[in-house]
Order: sequence, then structure tokens, then C-alpha cells
Amino acid sequence: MRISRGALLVLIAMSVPIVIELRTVASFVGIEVPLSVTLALSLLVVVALVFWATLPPKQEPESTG
Amino acid sequence: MSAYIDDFPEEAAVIRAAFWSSFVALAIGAFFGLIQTLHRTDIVRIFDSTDYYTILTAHGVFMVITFTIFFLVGVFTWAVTTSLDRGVESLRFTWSWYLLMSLGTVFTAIPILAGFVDSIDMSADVLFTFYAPLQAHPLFYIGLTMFVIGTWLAGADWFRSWWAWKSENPSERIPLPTFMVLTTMIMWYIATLGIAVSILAFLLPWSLGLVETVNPLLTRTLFWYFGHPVVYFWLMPAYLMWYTLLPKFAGGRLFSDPLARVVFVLFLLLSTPVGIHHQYLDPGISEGFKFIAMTNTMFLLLPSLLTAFTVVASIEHGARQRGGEGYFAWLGALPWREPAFTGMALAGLMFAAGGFSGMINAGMNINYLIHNTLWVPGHFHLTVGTAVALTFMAGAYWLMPQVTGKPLASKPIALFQTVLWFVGMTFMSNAMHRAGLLGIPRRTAEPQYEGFEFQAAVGSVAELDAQVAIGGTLLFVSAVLFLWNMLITSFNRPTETLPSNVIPEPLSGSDDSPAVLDNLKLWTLIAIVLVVLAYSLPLASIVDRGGLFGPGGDAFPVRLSPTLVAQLLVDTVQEGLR
Amino acid sequence: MNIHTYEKLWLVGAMLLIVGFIATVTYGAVGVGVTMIDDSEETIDPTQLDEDERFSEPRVEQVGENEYDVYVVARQFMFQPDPIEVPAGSDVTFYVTSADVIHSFSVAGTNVNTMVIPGEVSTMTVEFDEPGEYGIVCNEYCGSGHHAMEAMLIVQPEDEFELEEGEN
Ligand code: HEM
Ligand SMILES: [Cu+2]
Ligand SMILES: [Cu+2]
Repeated sequence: MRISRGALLVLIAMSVPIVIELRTVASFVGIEVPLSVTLALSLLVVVALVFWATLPPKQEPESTG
Repeated sequence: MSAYIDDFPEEAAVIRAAFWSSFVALAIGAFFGLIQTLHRTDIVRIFDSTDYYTILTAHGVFMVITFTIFFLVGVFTWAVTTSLDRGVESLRFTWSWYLLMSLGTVFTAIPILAGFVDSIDMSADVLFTFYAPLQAHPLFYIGLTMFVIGTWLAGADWFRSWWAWKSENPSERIPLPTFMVLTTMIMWYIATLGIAVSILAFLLPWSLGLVETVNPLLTRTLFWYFGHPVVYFWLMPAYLMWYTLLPKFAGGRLFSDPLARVVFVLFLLLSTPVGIHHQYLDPGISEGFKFIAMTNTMFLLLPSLLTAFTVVASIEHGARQRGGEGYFAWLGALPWREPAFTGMALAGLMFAAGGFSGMINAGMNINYLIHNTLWVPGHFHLTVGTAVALTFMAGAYWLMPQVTGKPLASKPIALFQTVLWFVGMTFMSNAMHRAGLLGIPRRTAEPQYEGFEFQAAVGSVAELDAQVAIGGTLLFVSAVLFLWNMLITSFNRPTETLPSNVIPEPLSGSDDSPAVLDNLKLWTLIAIVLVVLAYSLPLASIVDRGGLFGPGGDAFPVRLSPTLVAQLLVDTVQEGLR
Repeated sequence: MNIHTYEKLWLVGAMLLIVGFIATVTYGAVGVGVTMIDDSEETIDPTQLDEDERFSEPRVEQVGENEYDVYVVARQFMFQPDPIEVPAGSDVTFYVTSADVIHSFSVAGTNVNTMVIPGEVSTMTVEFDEPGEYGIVCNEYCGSGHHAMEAMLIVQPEDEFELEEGEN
């Protein structure tokens, strides 16, 4: 793990407002993001975060924490 | 090196009682909160829409009066006894204010909850703002008065501790946590004068039928005289924990003692002379007074901005103590597995968002767009509903073991609970803000009207409603997890291995802060002068225009006549005994 | 007192921000001329609205070439008159008072929004550029029927607008 599981949980939580607000912000510039896309996007973000977090840190040998 | 309960077993019992009173209120409030979210979005309806306002009154009162203030008295008692390292002067006195507050809560709750039962001719469907000429049963006002007097006595208790300590330590600085408690209480004494006058001089006699009418603008203005500083009364215990506990959890210590004192002095001075910013849209108050309130309000941003700096700097210091490095990488070194830390950090983050929407509220012009729309509950569920509530819950994960001597039942669930609150509130608050911009009002039971429809610019109103309902449900689950954890903790077996109850000394200690900061008499005097400056003219003008008892009008619901007063007193006693 | 350099910078930044806010709001109020609800009207006895020349008959009234006055009474749980019809492109001044408890008079999604307090009269002058229909809601809790308190505001095209007989 690159970061502790607690930190991962917090990171996932933080991604929620970002994904939600992204939709609002996109509409300011005239892009209507459908709900399904938002849902898919949030899933993607979560998977990416988990993937990144579970990657072994550079150089050092894998250690679980 | 010992836990709080080892040093102060008797005080710990009072704090436990206060916490449990607070948690019971949270349980009821969260349940009603869930009902509201599902009802006003028309997803699940257990009650009639006409009963919605009874529920909302209960939610408001239990959350922002009972839950917050009972927790506050617990935390403040902990802070004063810990930082002075002495027990309360008289346990009997301490228990007596706790009992008075509890009795006051019960008295207030009876008429509110009686609103559900049609056969009882008693109601208090006035919401927590109780604007006249909506009238509650006298018991409602009596209960509130008792509750507030209870808090006054609690303040007196802490002042007594400090005076006793001072006579033994004449040359020492006031320890920072005690300083925070005392300044907050001075603010509270000044602020509660507003509703004390409003209730004792007008609303209570009026509900008893002793006076015929009240001046609705006057009682409303007196409410908001109290209504803004009460916001800081909720917030100050959270700040106290951010300044004392959070840096400790992060592995370090507070950055600066002097700055912390400056912040609390600023709150004492500026919290009250701003209440008229809740009345930007009120007729009968001149533009000039509204303008002054706006300016004062903007300056009130200062102490919160300073807090943001100090708290972040202290956390960073803690992270670097733990081996954190880099510009942002130090964030990874923080103890994110600790629910007490993570909860407070997330609460602080949401407060930043809440502060942002608050700045928008404070601007007079934009206020006309969002006043009394769902935007407003969206805003204060970030501030009191998260910055305060989540900090309290996170704090409880550390404080409950301290005052019970028992380890927390489940840390992983606690961590999950704090994160769940954050996520749930993100959903609910975001949707409320956006719904508010469409003009959807707060405090209404129905999602749409008959003659027209609210139209969303992005997505749809149905989506916003769904978002509110999902958020509210997550919040409710989060509250249940919290309460369950507290309950199991209380039944845990005592342990010897609790962390010790010490608050680390700040990096830049009290020697660095000018002595004048501790001159409470001076600050009290200035605070009073500011209040007089801000309020004497508006109040005089309101009374001059409409008279002390207003230009006339009836009470709603119409219920009492003076001849019924005797009967009523009998009823009251009976109801109180039930 | 020992203040860290970053602290000083932050402090200065915070003060600039605050002064900036005040300046913007002031500009909005004074420069652009957004008017606010104030204390320009006398108080009134809410139980005696029947006797009042303005509010005994809630109505729209033409008072100048492109000027209209609208007298609105808010009461549990309705607005009078309903619907309110005004022409586009004119100065419309609303006078709103309450016959019972505190209400609001809020044109949904706009900044035409005021508290309506018994005993006080709220006034505001608005110009509606475009014809259209707006919902009016009461956004201050006023009793168990609060959610049913609504009305319509209809802004007519200038050339089609006509005051109804008997309304004047
Ligand atoms: C389980 C979590 C919660 C849920 C689901 C919830 C839900 C709601 C909803 C939907 C409303 C708006 C009702 C309306 O205007 O029609 C509301 C109002 C309110 N909430 Fe919460 N809330 C929660 C927690 C809290 C907390 C923790 C606090 C404060 C400590 C709080 C304080 C308030 C207040 C003061 C109001 C306004 C009452 C009024 O307008 O008179 N809520 N809540
Ligand atoms: Cu305020
Ligand atoms: Cu209403």
C-alpha cells in the first residue's frame, strides 16, 4: 500500500464532491453531463484511486501496513 | 499520565450525563431529519404535510439547542478542569445546573411533541425561531428559559473555578482552554440577554394572556440579536477542540497561543453586533442599519480565517513531526486511521465550504436571491450540521473513553462513520444549495407547488430531490453508527491503557502573548459598547415606529383568554408530571 | 507578541479579502443601485386592513404613464390579489403587508423577495423586461398550511396589458 487504508477512504470521500461539482461546473461552459456518465465517472475515480493506492511504492520492497 | 476519569471521577460523571443528554437529542433529531428529507422530496411519507412543521420544530430545537449545548457543557467542563488541573468547586452546584438544563429540555419538548396528538390542546409548532405572532404553549417558553438559566449557572461554575485557581496562582496566565471557555461564556451572557428580554418581557406574558399583543418585528429582532452569536456558541467548543485536541492527534502541538487568544477575543467582540444580517429583507429596519451589520459581519470572517491558518499550520507541524515531507506529501503522514483526527479534519474542510456559502449569504444583494430558500439549510448543515456536529462526534471518540475509562468499541466503524457523514452531507448540502438557487423555499413540506413548477438549470428537480434523500439517509445511518458505538463503549470493560489526558503546550506559548489579552473586564466592556452602538438605534426605531407591544394583531393559533390562565397553570403542572 | 511571517502575510491577505467584500457589496448597493427593503412606510394595524385605503382592496393600480402600484395582502394561506398582472417594461411598485403572521412575498428564482411582517409594509420597485409567468411563494413558515401558500405573477406584453374593470 502506498497510503494507509484510512487515507484511502478519506481520498475516496473527497472525490465525491469533486465529481458532483464537476457536473455543475461543466454546465457553466455549456456541457450537459448525463447522470449515467457522472455515475460511471465516479466509479472510475474510485477504481483508479484504489488501484493507485495498492500499487507498491517505488523502489522499496512491498510492505503491508 | 492518566485518563481524565482517574483524576476527576466525579466530574467525569457529570460530563457523561451531559454527553448522553446530547446524544439522545441527536438520536431524536436525526430520526426527524430523515423523515424530513424523505417527506419533502415526496419519497416516503409517514406523516401528514400539516405535521411536517411539528417535526421540523423538534428537529431544530433538539439539534441546535439540546444536542449542541449539552455537548458544549460537557466539553467545557472537561476543558476547565483539565487545564486548571482542579475539580469543580461544588459538585452539587454542577449537578444542579445540569438538572435545570435537563428539566428545561423536557418542558420544552412536551408541548412540541404534544403537537402530534390532536387530543391534547397543546402545541408549539413555532420552529426554533418562534417568531410571534405564532404562539407556543407557555411551557415551551418556560422550558427554554430554564434551559438558558442552566447554561448561565454552568458559566458561573467555570468562572468560580477560575477565580479559585487565580487566587492560588496570582501571577499566572489563564490557561488557554479556560481562556476560551471564559470568553465564550461572556459572549453567551451578552447574547442571551436578547432572548431573555424577548421571552420574559413579551412572549411568555403574552402566551399566558397577560398582555394582548406583541410587536412582531421587535421580538424577531431580539431573537436575531441572540440568533447570530448562538452560532458561535455552537462553534466555539468545536474551535476549542481544533485548537487543543486536533494538533495533538496530528502528532504535534498548537502553533501559536497568542493568536488563539486573539481569535477568541475577536469572537467575543464581534459575534453579537451583526444579528441584523438575518434581517436584510425585513421591512421596518432602515437600510443604514443593515449596512452596518453587513460590514461588521465581514470583519467577523477574520477570526475564522485566522483559525484556518493556525489549525492547518499546527496539523502540518504534527505531520512533519511524524516524518511527513514535501509540499503536499506531508498530508499522507497524518493519522487518517484515527476517527477522532479524520472526523475533525473532514469537519474543518466542510467548514471551509460552509464559510464560502456564508460569505455569499452575508452580501446584502445576493441575499435577496437566496434568503429563506433551501440554500440556507444547505449552508448551515455544513457549519453547525457538520463543522460542529462532526467535530463533536469525532471528539466523543476520544473524550468518551476519557470520561468512562473504557476503550472505544470499534475504531474502524468510527472511522467509517465520520467519512459517511462527510459523504452524506456532500450529497444533501450540495443539492440544497442548488435547489435554493432555483427559488425552492426552506421549511416547506411539499416539493412542488400547484400553479407552477421549479425548473432546474442543470439536471432536474427530481434529481436534486433524490440527492437530498440519499444524503439524508446516509447521514441518518451515520448517526446510528455513532450512537451505537457510544452505547457499546459504555458497556465495554474498563481498561488501564487509555491515552493520557494532557493538552500539549503550544509552540509559541503564552509568554509570547501580551498580558492585555487576558484582561477579560476590558474585553467585556468593549463588547458591550459595540453591542450598544449596533443595537440601540435600531431597537429604538422599531419601538418608536410600532410601539413596545406593536401596532396590534392576534396570536396564532388563537387559543387562550386571560380567564383561562388559572386553568392553564393547573394543566401545566399535570402535564409536567405526566 | 511573536507573529510568524506567514501569519502576517495571511493576516494581511484576510484583511484585504474582507475589505474587498465590503467594497463589492457597497458598490452593489450604492453604485448599481440595488434597493433594499427599508423603513419608509408607516406601521399599520393588521386587524384593521379592511379600513385601510390601500389594503382593503388588494389590487394593481396605474399611477403614472409607465408606473404601477400593486397592493398585496398576505394572509394564512394565500396572497391577494391572485394572479397579479402587470405589464412588461414598466416600473412596478409592490406594497405588501400581512393580515396575521409573518410571511414572505417571494417571486421564485428572482431577487424579488421580502419578509412580510404584520404591522409593517414592505415596498419594492421592480421592472420586468420580458413578458412571462412567475410563481410567487411564501418562504417564511406561517402555519400548518404554509406549503400551500402561493400565487402567480403574470407579466403581460406591454401592448396587450389592460387593467380589469373594477380593479381600479
Ligand atoms: C441525520 C442528519 C440530518 C438530516 C437528515 C437533516 C435534515 C434536515 C432537512 C431536510 C432540513 C430542512 C427542512 C426544511 O427546511 O424543510 C433540516 C433543517 C434543519 N436542520 Fe437538519 N438534518 C440533519 C442533521 C442536523 C444537525 C446535526 C443539525 C445541527 C446540529 C441540524 C440542524 C437543522 C436546523 C437548525 C434546521 C432548520 C430548522 C428550521 O428551519 O426551523 N440538522 N434538516
Ligand atoms: Cu448570522
Ligand atoms: Cu408561509
